[in-house]
Amino acid sequence: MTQSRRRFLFIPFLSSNPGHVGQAAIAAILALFVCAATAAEPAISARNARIRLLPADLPLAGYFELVNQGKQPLTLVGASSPAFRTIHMHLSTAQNGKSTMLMIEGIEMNPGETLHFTPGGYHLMLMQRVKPLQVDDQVPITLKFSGNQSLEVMFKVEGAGSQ
Amino acid sequence: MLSITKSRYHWLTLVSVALLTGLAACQQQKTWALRDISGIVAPLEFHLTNQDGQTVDASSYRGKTVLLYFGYTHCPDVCPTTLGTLALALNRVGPDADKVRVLFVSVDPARDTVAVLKQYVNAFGPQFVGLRGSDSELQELSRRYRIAYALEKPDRHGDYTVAHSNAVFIFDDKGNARLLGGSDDKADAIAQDLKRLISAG
Repeated sequence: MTQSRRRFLFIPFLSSNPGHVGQAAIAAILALFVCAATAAEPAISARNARIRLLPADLPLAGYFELVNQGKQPLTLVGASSPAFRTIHMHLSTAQNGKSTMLMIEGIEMNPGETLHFTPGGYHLMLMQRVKPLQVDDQVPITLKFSGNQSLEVMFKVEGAGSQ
Repeated sequence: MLSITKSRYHWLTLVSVALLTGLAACQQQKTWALRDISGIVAPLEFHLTNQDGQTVDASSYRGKTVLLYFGYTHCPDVCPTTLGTLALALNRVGPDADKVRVLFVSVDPARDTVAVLKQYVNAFGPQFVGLRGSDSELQELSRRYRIAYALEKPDRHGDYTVAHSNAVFIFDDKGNARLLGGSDDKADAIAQDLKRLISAG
C-alpha cells in the first residue's frame, strides 16, 4: 500500500527535467517530505461508511463516499470483508418507473474525484453474513483498487429505516 | 351597434380571465406534492396473505389511508430506501400515522415466506404490512395497477434480483386511489400529502 503510493509520487519527479542536478536534489528532498506526509494521510480516503441492517440473512447495502486524493486515476474493482462471504458492486437504475440493478466490475476515479455510494445509486451488495450483526456494530470492509492497492474502511451498522 | 357588442365582448373576456385566474389560484393552493391519480387508477382491491399467515383483502384496511408498494426483501438498495423514506414520512405525520398502513407486496413470493416478511416489515415500523400471494394472485394485482416486475437471470449461486416498479400508490380511507409517489419522493412531501389526505377523511 505505502510502496505503491510512493511509486505514484516518484514518477512525476523522475520524468521532470533530469538534467538539472540542483532541481533534482530539491525534488528529491521535497519528495521525502511528501512521502512522510502521505504515510499518515492516505491517497484515498473514505467517509460516512455505513451498512443498512435488514433482518435474517437478507443482502445488505453498504454506502460511503470515496475521495481520490492522489495524483493518479484509481479504479475501484471490488471489496471483501471477514463479515460477509460475498460482496458485489451494484448500480441501481430506474427506467420507465421500473428499478433494476446492474453488476459493476470497476469504477474509475480521477485525481481529486469523489465517488458516492448512495441509496438508489452505487452500493456494495453484502451477502451471506458470517455472524449476526447489530445496529452500531463496526464492520471492516477492504475496498480493492487496480494495481493491487486496497483500503480498509470501518462501516457503521445502521437501522433498516436509515437513509 | 357593432361597437357596443364589441365592448361587451371585451368586458366579458376581462371578467372570464379574472375568474379563471382566481380559479387557478385556488387550485394552486390545493396542489399535491405527489401525482394526483384520483379516478385514473383502480380502487384498492386484492386477496393476499399477510405476514401473520392470515388471508386479507382491501376491506381489512378500510378506514385506513393505504400506501401500496411492490418489492422484495432480497432487494438491498431501492426497496429499503423507499420503505425507510415512508417510515420517516410517517414519523413526521405524528400520532395520525396510526391511521396509515403501508402494504408491501412481495414480487418474489418464492423467497419471501410469511416468516421472512414478518421480520422484514417489523424492522420498518408498526404500520408496515407484508403481503404475499400465489403467482396468479400477484399477476392479477400487477395487471390491475399496471405495474411490471421481472425476475432476472440467476447467478451461479442461484441468487437473482427482481426488476420492479418503484411506484407507491396511495389510497384514501375508503379505498379510492388518490396519489402516486415514487422512490425519488422525499419524506417531507409524502408527509405533507398524507396529513392532508388523513384530515380530509
